[in-house]
Amino acid sequence: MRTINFYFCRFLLLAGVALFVNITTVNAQFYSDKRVEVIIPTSPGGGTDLFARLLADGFDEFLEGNPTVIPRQMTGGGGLLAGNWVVEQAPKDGSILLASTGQTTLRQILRQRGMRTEVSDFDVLVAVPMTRNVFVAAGKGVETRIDLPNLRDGDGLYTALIDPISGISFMLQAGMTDMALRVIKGYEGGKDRDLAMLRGEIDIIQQISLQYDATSRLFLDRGAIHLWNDGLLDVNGNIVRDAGFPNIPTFPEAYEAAYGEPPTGMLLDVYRAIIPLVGNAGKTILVSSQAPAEAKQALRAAVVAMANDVNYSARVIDQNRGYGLLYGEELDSALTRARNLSPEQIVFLRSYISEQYEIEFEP
Amino acid sequence: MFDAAFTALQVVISPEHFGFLFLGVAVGLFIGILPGLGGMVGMALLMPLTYGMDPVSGVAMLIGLGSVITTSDTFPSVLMGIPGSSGSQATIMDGYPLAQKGEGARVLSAAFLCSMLGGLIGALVLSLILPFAVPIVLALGTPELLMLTFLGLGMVSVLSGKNPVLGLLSTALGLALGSFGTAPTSAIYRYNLGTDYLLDGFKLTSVAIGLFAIPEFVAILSRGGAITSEKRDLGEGWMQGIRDVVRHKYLVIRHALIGSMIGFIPGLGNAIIDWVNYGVVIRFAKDKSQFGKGDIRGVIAPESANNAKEGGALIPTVLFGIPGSGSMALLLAALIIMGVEPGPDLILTRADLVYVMVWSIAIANVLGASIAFLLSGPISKLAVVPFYKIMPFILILVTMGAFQATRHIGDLFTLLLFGIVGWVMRQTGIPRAPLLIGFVLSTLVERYLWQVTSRYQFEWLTRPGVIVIGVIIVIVVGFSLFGREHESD
Repeated sequence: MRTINFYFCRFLLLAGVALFVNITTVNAQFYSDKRVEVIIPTSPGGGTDLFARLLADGFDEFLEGNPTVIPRQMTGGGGLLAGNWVVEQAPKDGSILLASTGQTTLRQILRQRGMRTEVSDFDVLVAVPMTRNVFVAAGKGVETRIDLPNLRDGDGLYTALIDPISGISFMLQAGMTDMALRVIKGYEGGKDRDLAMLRGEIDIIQQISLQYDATSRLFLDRGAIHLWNDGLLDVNGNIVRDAGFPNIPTFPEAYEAAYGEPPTGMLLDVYRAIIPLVGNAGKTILVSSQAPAEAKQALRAAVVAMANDVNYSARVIDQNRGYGLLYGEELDSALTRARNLSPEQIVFLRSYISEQYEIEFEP
Repeated sequence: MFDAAFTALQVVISPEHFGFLFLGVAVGLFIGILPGLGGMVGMALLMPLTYGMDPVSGVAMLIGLGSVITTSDTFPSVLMGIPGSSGSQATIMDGYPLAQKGEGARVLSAAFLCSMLGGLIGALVLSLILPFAVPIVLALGTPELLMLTFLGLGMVSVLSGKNPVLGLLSTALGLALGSFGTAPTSAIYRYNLGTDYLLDGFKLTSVAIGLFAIPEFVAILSRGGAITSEKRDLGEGWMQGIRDVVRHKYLVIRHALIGSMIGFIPGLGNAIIDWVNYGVVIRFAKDKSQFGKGDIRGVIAPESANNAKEGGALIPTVLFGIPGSGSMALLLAALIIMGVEPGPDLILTRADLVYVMVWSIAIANVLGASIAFLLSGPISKLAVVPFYKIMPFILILVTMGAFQATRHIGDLFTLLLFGIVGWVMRQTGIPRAPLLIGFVLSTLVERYLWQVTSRYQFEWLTRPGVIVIGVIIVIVVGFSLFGREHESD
């Protein structure tokens, strides 16, 4: 019996080594002399572009088989063009990766017109969190965060939205605080809106955490108040502060401080449901779910290698205001929480958005 | 400040940093020669090198690249009638006809010298205006930007030749074609004809190349022979080009200043800079008879301006972190990656780096123009080679340039469609430049008009800046129309 166990153990050990060698060899062979493209659906210089280029660089360095990895811009239709192309026309051999955002996943869940991709068309390889900050200009009746209720008074606050889904958390925050928003549409990107705020053309602005820089400080220099940060959802389902902004309250905290009670209702439920999507897994790199298993294995191994490399990790953390790569079980857990919008919440969100903005959804 | 400027010069010309500057210039010149490729492609190409690089070298390299693209893009514009990048569209109007008359060498030498001088003036303006730029940029609100787009459209009246009605129709067609794709003010798609490609409308690169290059190819092939219809020694015009620039020195200064000023308007500079300058030079010229047929002033004005704008475009990028174009967005990203945080206090905290930028622009322009001069001899011989021999190669270049826009098959269909439209317009005498201006400004006009009326209703019409620009538009348009009638009489 003892002999059998000994041989069985040796067999298992050898089998394990063989499997490991096989996996790494397959991984190494799979991308050997191949070319991988990271499709970037947004214009150059923005948060998604920077994230995608950083990851393209990482795959170039750490993907076994030493393939050439190049970033490729494919803008258009708010990301629809690239997503549709990857699903319908691009090869499904693991050579095409897609940089994406939580908002794109939300568009898929809500079935925005023109989007022909589904959440199940992709596997998420890696993500980084991203939150958003809200500032109100001086002279709008808010001297401190306690004055939040004053935002309901007056003629309304001018704000700028690129489109309602990209600013979905702010739309829900505005609904919960009942602030009278006067939305000016047509801004091309975050920097355009920053300039509008500095020129005094808008009164309140939502800004992604990656853009918290010199312009944000200019807002504050001009007397603007940093009202809140979206926050992130922790494993217990609580909205917690962004580690990059430890002194800034989350929206629910700011609300409670101003109104004396926490926010409640459908808007908060939806808010809690979308935060993991647009926050915790705010920026993602996807591969077609039809890609070969060896390709996915090799890509995931490369992500682990990136995360374990001290220099590369430092670059990621530096670029993402303190956050490293989200991958493996931690990513799966965030994604599970991210995709748990109930059918009622989806119906509510579709009608909430389309009642206020010109945006079309598939029936 | 002078100390910082002098120290920065020493740093830039040190062998290590100068090497990176030279690399940027070399890549920029190469990208500029290839039709359809612009600064964004070049920046994307060199950006990975900036990871871990010291900011001075990185800045010198990227600014070197951005500064000279509008120098070498003159080659395809002048010799083949193909817009090398969005900054050389207007150069075609007179540069190409002159090349066809066998004066390619004169045009190229004038263009390179103007580019160099324009770039130097742009660098000077950048260094002088930086301390006062914040209030100027912030004073230009959306209403003023809207009026500046109207000024761009107003240039159509100058560019329409003797038939303003045709010019107007051409502009209207451009405005309509520019409205295809995502609406700039809502998340809806217009006229995408059921195709993904048109979700974002037609692409400028494919439209510009189709409108201007394809009809010329057809014309030369049907005529037979080379691009230049007259056999002349290309060498004889070099000195003439330099003499032209000396004779029109005030023109160079005027348009370099206009270029710098328009350059620092975020989101607008690139779109209108060429055409505004081309329109202005015609408007204020006493003898307008040769414009469009081959007047060297039609080359000097846009070439002085488009190199000068690089200095201006750096102002919103480094002072606000707000890039005015795709290439500036990538430069901004590279600055952040290298640990440089743009902001109004950069001139105080990193004066050395700001002056590295200024010197990089200046030195890159001198280097770029010198190399372009050296390359001119061999490259300009293309103009006397029988066109059927070089046509396949040029067609591949042009097709690749158009395909770079999105790398979607739709780019090639756009090239073909606008090639046909351009050829019909050429044959029927309908001006093509107004169509391109309408196309370029379509989205901006719609966006700004929507924002201005949402924010200010009619109150914006009383803003002083709006009134001043409005008066300029009335003068430009009114005098063009009145002047034309007067000339007809």
